[in-house]
Amino acid sequence: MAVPPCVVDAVNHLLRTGLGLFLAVFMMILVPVTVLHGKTVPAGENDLLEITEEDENAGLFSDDQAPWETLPEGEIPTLFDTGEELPATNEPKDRPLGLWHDLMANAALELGYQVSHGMEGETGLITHYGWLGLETETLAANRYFIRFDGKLSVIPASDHRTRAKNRRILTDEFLREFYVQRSFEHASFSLGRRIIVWGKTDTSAITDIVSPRDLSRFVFVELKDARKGQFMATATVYHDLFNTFLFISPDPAVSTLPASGTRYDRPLSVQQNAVVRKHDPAWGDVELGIRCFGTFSRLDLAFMAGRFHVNTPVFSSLQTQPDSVLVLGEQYPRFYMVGMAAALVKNNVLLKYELAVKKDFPLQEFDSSGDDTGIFMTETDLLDHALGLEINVNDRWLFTMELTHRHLFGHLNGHDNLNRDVTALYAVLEKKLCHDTLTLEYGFYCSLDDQGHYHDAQATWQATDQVELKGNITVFTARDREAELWPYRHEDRVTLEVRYHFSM
Amino acid sequence: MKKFLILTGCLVFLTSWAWADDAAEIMQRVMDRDDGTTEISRVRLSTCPVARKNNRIVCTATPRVKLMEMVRKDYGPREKDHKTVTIILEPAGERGIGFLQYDYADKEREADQWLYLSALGKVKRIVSANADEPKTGNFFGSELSYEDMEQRYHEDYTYRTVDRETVAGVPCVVVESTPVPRRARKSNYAKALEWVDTKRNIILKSVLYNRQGKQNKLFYYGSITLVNNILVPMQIAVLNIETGRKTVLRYEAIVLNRGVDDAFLTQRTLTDGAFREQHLKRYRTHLE
Repeated sequence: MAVPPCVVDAVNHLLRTGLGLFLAVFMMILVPVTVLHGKTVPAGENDLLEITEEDENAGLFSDDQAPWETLPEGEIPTLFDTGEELPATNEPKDRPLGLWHDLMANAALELGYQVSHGMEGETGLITHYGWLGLETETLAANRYFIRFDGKLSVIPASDHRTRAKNRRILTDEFLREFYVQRSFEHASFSLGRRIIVWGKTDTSAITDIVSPRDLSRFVFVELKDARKGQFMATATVYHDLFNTFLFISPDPAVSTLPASGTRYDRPLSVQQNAVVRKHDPAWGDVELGIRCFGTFSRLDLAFMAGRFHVNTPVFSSLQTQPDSVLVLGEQYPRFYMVGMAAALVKNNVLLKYELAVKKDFPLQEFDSSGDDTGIFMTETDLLDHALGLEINVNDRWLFTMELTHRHLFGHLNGHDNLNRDVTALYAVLEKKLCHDTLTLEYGFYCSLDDQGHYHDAQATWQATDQVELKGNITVFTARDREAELWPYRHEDRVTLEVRYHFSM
Repeated sequence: MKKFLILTGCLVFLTSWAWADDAAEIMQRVMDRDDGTTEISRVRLSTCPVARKNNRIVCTATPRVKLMEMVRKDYGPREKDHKTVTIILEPAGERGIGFLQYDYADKEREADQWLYLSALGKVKRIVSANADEPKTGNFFGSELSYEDMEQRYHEDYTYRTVDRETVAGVPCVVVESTPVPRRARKSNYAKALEWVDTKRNIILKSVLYNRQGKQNKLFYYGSITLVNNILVPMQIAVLNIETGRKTVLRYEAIVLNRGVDDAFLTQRTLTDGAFREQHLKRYRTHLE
């Protein structure tokens, strides 16, 4: 099998661009750390740690431990104490009852700060903001489980989002989840804003189509922030073999797109001078679905079906006004999906497969005549599927690869801008170092059809139990003007982030 | 958690008739020892680099601490299959991470492991390292390796009594365990020496040797307490001589042989918050 050109491109790109330099530095750090990590402490230092009988009898790990004593016959020996006092906060304690108090007592908070800088094209600061995240849950009245997960960001003028609105400062409230849940012996019910994640693959939305996405930051969004919650009622029924999950969302949310004028906003050319009439899903445009799932020895299996609205808009030209201004309709049409997902583990390999048949799925089309008014929506049936692989290389490396493919069925109205088959590859290599406090990760995405691809290298260091530092560099390549990544080919950037985790 | 009781249980020898010198038989009894059909516990795991100072081994940096709640139940005719749920309470950044693990007495059968991360929003099956090589990963970055916490099988080792010594004034038999070739291929250790308190049928200390035959890790079992009539070392200290680090594992609270619902030891516990908290609330009352 020939090496895909995008892989060759990728290697060339590594050599030509700053990413090559970054990876070289990355490896310069990685190799010595890996070698040192696996090495023993020099012999002279080891001697310091050799334990003698006298050490043991002196109470090895404690400064104030009395020597061990010979215990009377029949008594249980208490050999030594580490001298580490338990923090008083971990002792069981009486506390006043109250929902608010419980929510605060269980709260995990996060203070974060991110700054990113463009490396190509329009350089300068891209993001520059801070946030406070709060995640908490409690069991109220011994029955009702309440969960809250939200985040408040403060975005100063130097951030591209604030610049686009010509403001001095912006705030952004992001409520991921807020729901109440009640469980019984064989069933569970919930009501509120929830995120539902379906499927087994991590990088593609084959069956994972329930919760909309935050696309406003393009690919630079944290995994945790990638999905948005939406209001829904759910029920889960637990059987011995299979469990069944149902949801109904009477007011579906849609994905968040980049705001107008922000760094990653890429409006269609026809949008520039057009009037856009939005038709967001409204109350009553119900989404509903069912998922049956179970585990059979080494196999996790799930089947799902549902009726959904697409989460990203599809445009169509409605009319041209007398003043030659085009009127566009922005819609989120409905479609149907039937799918399955499976994960099978064998030794150190995890195999994942996911398949979905989507009926009446709306796709964006353009008239090949080049007439700007020629923008259409085509509803067609399609097959989405993905094959994934995870290999644990003896706890030293974790390699993940996913190959996704979309095939369109049926008649495509004769328009030639829709590819009947679309294939993409995603691979991640992860290495943990320094007693699992440093994680290095390299990711590579490639569209096998248009050869657009990007590299992503990331280092995350848990400096303490509370403080996490992260550095990230992302580089894009697109040669074909038709490539999906073409509009983003100059969006290479470096990102630095610090997070402080604490509790009340 | 079963893992920790395995760690200690594997090393707890039954030697009521003193110097029988039949180390293999002693080990068999160790492995058959009752460690409780169920366990509910809160465990603190503290790890730091160490140095010798004033003739003591002390931390040279702030310890990394994990606080976990664990619920375990044994299954099978000899109660050698184990199901364990672990929920992380601290540090705050990892609160709510949940693990579910099934271990099997059949050594040909790999453990099943699932992880729930709220950021991921779904239960993910964990792929473990290749079973045919020595495992190099550590439990939560501690000095307890996955191998240290694996279920041990009697037939995987040969045993001999090498000495009689006292530890803390307690008479002990020193037993050497050497992996058979089939096991040695998968092990990081060439042998282990274990100091067994023959009157109390419990290990007080063990030393593990690496594949080059050098001392690698020292285990000390302390605060040995009767919990529901079963001996449990409430503290296990591991000193890794190679890395110059130590881990102290401490049971903040533990009860054995209390009722644990089978349904709790399923993936439902990882994703169904109301179900999990209702059960944990009940289980926590045993720990107070």
